[in-house]
Amino acid sequence: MSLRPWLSKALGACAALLFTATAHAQTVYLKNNNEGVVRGTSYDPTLLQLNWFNQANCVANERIRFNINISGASSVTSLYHLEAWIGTACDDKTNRQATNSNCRRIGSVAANVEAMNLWLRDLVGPLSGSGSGGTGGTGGTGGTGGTGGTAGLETGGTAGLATGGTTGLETGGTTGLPTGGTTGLETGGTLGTGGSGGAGTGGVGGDLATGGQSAVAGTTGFFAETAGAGDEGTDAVGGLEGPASVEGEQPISVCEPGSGTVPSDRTVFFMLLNDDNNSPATVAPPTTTTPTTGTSWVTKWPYKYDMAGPPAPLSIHAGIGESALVMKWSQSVDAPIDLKQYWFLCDPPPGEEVGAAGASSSPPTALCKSNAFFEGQVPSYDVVKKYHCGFVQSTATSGEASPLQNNYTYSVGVFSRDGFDNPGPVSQVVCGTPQLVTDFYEAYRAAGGEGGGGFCSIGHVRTHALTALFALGALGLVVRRRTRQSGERRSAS
Amino acid sequence: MKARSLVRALLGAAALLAAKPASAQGVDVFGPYGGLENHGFVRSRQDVAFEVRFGHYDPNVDDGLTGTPYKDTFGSGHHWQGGAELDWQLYRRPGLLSLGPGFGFGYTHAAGKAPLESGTGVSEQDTTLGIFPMHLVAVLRFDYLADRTPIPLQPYAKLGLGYALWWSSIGNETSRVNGEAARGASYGYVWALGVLLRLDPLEPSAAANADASLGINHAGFFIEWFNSGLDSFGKGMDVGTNTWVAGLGLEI
Repeated sequence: MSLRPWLSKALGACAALLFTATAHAQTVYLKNNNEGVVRGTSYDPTLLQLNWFNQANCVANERIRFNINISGASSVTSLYHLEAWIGTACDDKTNRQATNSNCRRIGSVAANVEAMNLWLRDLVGPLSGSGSGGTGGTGGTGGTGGTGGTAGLETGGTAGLATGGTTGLETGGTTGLPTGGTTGLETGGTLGTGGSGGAGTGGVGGDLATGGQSAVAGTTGFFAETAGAGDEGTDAVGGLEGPASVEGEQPISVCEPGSGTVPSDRTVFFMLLNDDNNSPATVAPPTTTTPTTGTSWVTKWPYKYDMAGPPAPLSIHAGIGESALVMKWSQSVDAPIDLKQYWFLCDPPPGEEVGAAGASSSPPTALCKSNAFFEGQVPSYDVVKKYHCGFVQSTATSGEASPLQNNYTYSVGVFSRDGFDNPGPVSQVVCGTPQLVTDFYEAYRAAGGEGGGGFCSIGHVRTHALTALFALGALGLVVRRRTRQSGERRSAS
Repeated sequence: MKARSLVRALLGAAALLAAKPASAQGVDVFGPYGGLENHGFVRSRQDVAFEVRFGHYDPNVDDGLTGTPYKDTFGSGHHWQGGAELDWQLYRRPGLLSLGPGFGFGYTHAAGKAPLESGTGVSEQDTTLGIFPMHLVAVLRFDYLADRTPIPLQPYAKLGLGYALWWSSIGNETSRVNGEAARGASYGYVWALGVLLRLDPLEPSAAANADASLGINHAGFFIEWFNSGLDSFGKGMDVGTNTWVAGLGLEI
């Protein structure tokens, strides 16, 4: 019997194992560390749930840090690019190559990093209309806009926006505005129609726009996008051109007060690409072109954002209280289910000694309005910090604004916050004047009553009561003992 | 039929309120056993009485004052109390009486709009008075009528000490006068006379089941005249009351 067949099989098996091990060692893949989102600056973890972005923490130019594992790439660290895309179908090569309108690149690095910093506004900005900076602007110009984009093409650059904007309005005034233009800005929905009209030219304009300026228009695009104007998404073609070019230079449009958005889901895709990432057609993952379990050139990071505060409360009423105003309101029927609290704003601010030097010298409320907060506008953080005068939970429809000064008229408004601390717009601003009242205890004392001063205010008397209680207890025990003894005697007899 | 259904429901509720380890007695598909199969079944051991109490609570705050601040602030309408009492039947002569200490407590709350100091009307700010009365009493229950005659009534009497915590607020704050917080405690005497209507005779089998499975000896409605003088003998706010109290009583 020859050993050759066995030896041959054994060698084959070893070779197979060696090959497998070698292949595995060369596998490069991404892994979501699942550590949540780490925000760069102005991040207060007590105010934010992981993977949720809200308006309260929406800070311009804020970076969001994603930690990514790049495994198996230690020996080839400089040969790959890590890209981040946002959208709904960006996780395959085909979509990326086709620059699918639902995908937008939001960042790229060419090093073996294990974290990637992205801009908050890129994560929450519009996909279509290209909220990623410049292109987003052009897309926004979109509907009214399409013309504006064309004008931008003519004049180019920043000036193009101005010219384009004007031109867009002029020409759109006749054509664009009625269908999309101004109406679209207000309602968001109609603009989508206009947006589709502007898609082609807007996309072109995106190429030329310098981003910074066109980001203004990006706001418009955002509204259109939230209204579901899918056609405008074609502007995203331009989105490829401009994304990260304006990082750190623009405020996040959706963070601006009043720019409400509905809660939305998004996914950011991180892709590991060959060094030759300028040629998408040749892009291929290091070891496989098809993501498989455990080894993938793409990883997803789903997240959500909610920049919309609840609608303003209705039917505001400020009743008289002592050092306080008794606020009553009704909840808007559009209030979200995650409505969390109602907050009160008082002008002059609570605690401010009215009439004192440097303080408000006279009630600014003769016309019943405030110079600090306004009906229908989302109050800024600073305004809330200075002027808030109480809050109650969302289950209440009344509460007290305090501490206020009696015999002084205050302007008061109510706004609500949702579960992610997004503030909503201020309600109607009303006026009220706290006054001295006679509460029950004051009336009781005025009538000669002597009670009060604390639960322990009758210490010497309590001793008597406790003595009586002990005596009663002792009596009970004696009775109990005698009962048992008599029972035992009866049993014995 | 309605009355019987009501009795069943009450006994069921009583069972839920007073779950107690079952004795050796029981009920199966053939009926009660372990003594209950005999007519005039043997009751399980009885140690305590438990009451769920409801009634008006209009404190005598205005007594002895120069005005009527309570009535002026909270009106002359009735305010309600809810509470409970647990009596330990320390000494018991079956079929005759039981005697023992009992502890009870309740809670009542009155609220009204505080009048403006200027006298020009009322504000929209609530001023309140909360009272948490407690009592420790000796309870004497006469079982003779209910146990030895067809009359399902159990008269009882209570006598003891009362102690009540009270507090008053204006808006969200505790009221104060000259720096003194509107919080206090008053004590005094408590007595009550009442009668419990046993429901057992209306549905004997359900009563037997409740006793066998949960140890509830008797269940019924009670009504009592409750009288308390809680003014710390003239030194504190009189938060006692004279009122009718009714509720559900269980003997377990």
